[in-house]
Amino acid sequence: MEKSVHDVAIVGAGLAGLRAAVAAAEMNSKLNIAVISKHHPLRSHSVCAQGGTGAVMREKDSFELHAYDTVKGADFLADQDAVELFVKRAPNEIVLTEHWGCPWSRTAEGRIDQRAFGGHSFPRACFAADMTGFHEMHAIYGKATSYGKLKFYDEWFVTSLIVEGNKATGLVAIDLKTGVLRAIAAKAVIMATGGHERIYEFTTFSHSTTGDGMVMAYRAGAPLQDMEFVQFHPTGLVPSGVLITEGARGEGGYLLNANGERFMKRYAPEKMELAPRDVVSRAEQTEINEGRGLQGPYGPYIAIDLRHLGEEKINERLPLIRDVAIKLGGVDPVKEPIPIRPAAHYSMGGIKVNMRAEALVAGLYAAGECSCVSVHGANRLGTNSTAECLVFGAVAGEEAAKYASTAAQSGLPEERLRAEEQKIQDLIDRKGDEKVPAIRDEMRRVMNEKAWIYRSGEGLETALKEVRKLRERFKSVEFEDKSKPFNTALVNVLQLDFMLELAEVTAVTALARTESRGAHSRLDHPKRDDQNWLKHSLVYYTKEGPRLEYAPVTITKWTPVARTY
Amino acid sequence: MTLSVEKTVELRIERFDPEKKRSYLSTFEVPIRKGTTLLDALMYVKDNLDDSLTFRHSCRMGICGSCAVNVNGKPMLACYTQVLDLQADSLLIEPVATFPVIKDLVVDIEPFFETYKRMKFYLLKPEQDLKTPAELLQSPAELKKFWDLALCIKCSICNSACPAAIDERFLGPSALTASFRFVSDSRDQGCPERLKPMADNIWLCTQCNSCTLFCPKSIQCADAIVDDHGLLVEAGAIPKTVKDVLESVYKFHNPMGTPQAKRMDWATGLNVKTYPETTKTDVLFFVCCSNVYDLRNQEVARLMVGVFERMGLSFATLGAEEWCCGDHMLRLG
Repeated sequence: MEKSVHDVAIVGAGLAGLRAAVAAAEMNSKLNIAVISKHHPLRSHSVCAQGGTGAVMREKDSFELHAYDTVKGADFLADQDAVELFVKRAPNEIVLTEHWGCPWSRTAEGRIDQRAFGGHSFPRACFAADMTGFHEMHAIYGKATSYGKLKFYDEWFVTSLIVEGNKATGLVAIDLKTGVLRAIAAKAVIMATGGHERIYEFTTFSHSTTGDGMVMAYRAGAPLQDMEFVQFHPTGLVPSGVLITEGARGEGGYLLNANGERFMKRYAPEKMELAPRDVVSRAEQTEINEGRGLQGPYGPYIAIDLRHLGEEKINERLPLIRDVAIKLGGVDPVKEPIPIRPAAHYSMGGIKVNMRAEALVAGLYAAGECSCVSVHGANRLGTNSTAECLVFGAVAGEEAAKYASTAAQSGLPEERLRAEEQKIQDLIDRKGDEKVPAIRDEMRRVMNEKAWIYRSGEGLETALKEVRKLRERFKSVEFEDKSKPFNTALVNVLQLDFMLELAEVTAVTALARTESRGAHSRLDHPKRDDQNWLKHSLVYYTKEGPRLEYAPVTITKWTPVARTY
Repeated sequence: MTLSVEKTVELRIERFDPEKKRSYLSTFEVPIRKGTTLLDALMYVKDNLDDSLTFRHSCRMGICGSCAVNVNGKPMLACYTQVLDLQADSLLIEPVATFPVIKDLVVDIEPFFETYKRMKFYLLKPEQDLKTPAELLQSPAELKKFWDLALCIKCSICNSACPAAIDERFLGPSALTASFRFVSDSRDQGCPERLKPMADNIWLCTQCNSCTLFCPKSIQCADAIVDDHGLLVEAGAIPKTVKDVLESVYKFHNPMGTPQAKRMDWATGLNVKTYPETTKTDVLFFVCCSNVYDLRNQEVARLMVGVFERMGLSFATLGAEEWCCGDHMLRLG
């Protein structure tokens, strides 16, 4: 297998991956850095981030407030030392992206403007209209192209992380253009591959974000943390699930049920539509479950009404939302409410890392949605994900660069590479009567039905059983396309393998947590249980299936209190 | 729950097998519902009919720029196109033009992004200004000047639709638009540096407006290229051929550099009234320099006279007082 050698290899080129690349290059200009992505960096899911990036930018706001909002939003499962670091580093990230060219929306005085967001006690979402992630991505990608020692491997699909003696030593990837398997040796590897919400049917996720890095790290021995916590975004456009930004409510949009009632007054009388996402999504689901949803050809839904904002404000602050609603939802929000319902949106869990973005495998780092620091605990606040990508992307880049500046290159054992080659070849040669789309769609249906907003022990047990059956069936998956160049049928098989693993992990951890906290709502255990469950779940890969462990939550300043909005 | 099928549409897809170096056409019947996008239709084929059909896609909301394809000869984003809106029972789907094809609908975008990497699409400013820990101020009006140009998703549709882009030297509408986006950013001070890579090739653009016409984000790419021209003219960084045209207009009132006295030569033998002898007429015929001086185009002007005569209209031209209308000047910046 042809090998290339780098000091730092970054898998994934969304916000976290690109930010890590820039940070590593700035930290040590001598380092050879590889950015490996299964599509071109600008196709990454981060470009779909819309509403804003949270950071303290005004004197009236404070780190203390941002940190507490985040901790409370997290239902006290966040590690508070990490949250404190996070809020302190966020403003500098806004300034840096600004200096690289990000076209932030501005106040009349020319300062970066900020809008209100759910669960935040101060309007601290810096935004570039409703295309924040898109503009941040283009600014950072532009900057990243300025470093001579930074090499992009676009459209390379990483299949495995190589770990030898609990030390990350490199990766194996398919160069999609040729279909040839290649090895990349690296002293440090940063995973930045995003979340896993494509395991659900109704999701805001891009088709291609399938949780690859989480699984590669997990199978290589790094535990995943808090995987039961999946965020459901209150406003996924019906029928596609495409995101309608929380900024639409931040700008004053109303949520209405079939009676035309702003039902949030019954769930969060103070914050109304701007309660945190778990609260709003539960409210919507309750309205739907109790028969107060609007009826449409795709089943019951909720309406988000922006008409009172007026055409001018919608065009200036929410232009993408208007365009998307017209093109994909068939409604013009200037004239009609937009049909929405909760959609799987974000993984609070991920590869367990500490505040230096180090996973529990030497030389392995993770940042962004595929990681779990944990800043978001049991429920992430809107605007904190892009902020986390920037802050901990930078941290991961810096730390990996420091490590790689002194560590030695370990090399990749031939037999390990041959085994990987064989594994891929076996998948290609496999005969059987199962197909990828059938198993994939069944997995998504099961997760939607049994591991959705409201969960129960019984439902999760069924989900787990079903997913394990699907994993069995996956062993008989056969596909037709045997050609080498750009074999997306093979990519789909590999992605399904990753997703099935994560569906199982999600079901296992959700079944084990017999309490309701943040986004994890158990009908059979409706109360938060700090006595027994104020702890992170850690899941380790074993041949027999996921092994669970638990770890304490770091509490520095804020002891848990009842969470009302 | 799903909607009922409105109709079945035939997708005729231009394929390419890179291993056998063979182009071929595949035809699939796809059920279309209200809301089915072209991307949904392609995914239906891959899931149900042929798993080897190869195309790029990701966000399915028109922001990642992956899924540009040609539909009945016109480039568009598959995910942002409703099949029913195309009002056709049969669609020819091809890879976008100009780029080499890797497989089926997947084209090689590497050269497109290699250009991008050379062009320094980040703020250029003295180092110390970028070291300041505070945000650079920018008024909403200043932001507005370049905001629309910053919406480019790098889908490469403009380049694929650009006749000049077949010349490898030409940087393409996307990169040239992005350059102007930075030049018009009040925070950027890189103008002279940004003009260098385009100075000797931007003139390949003939302002046909095809880039603007097909841009899925409605970006006025062609106008941005005119604005780039303007900057180059101001900086005096223009090739001799462009300079000659501009000087001819200045000296001779036409871009060809022909003496104005020959302005009416095309009408020899015809009965054409001219200013100032004629000061009143129903139709003033503005002939245009290219019809006046270009030997081939003169026939157009002469035939036009025939049209007027057959219609019995009274008409006249400005004679030697007709000057260049300025269109070339504008388009050259």
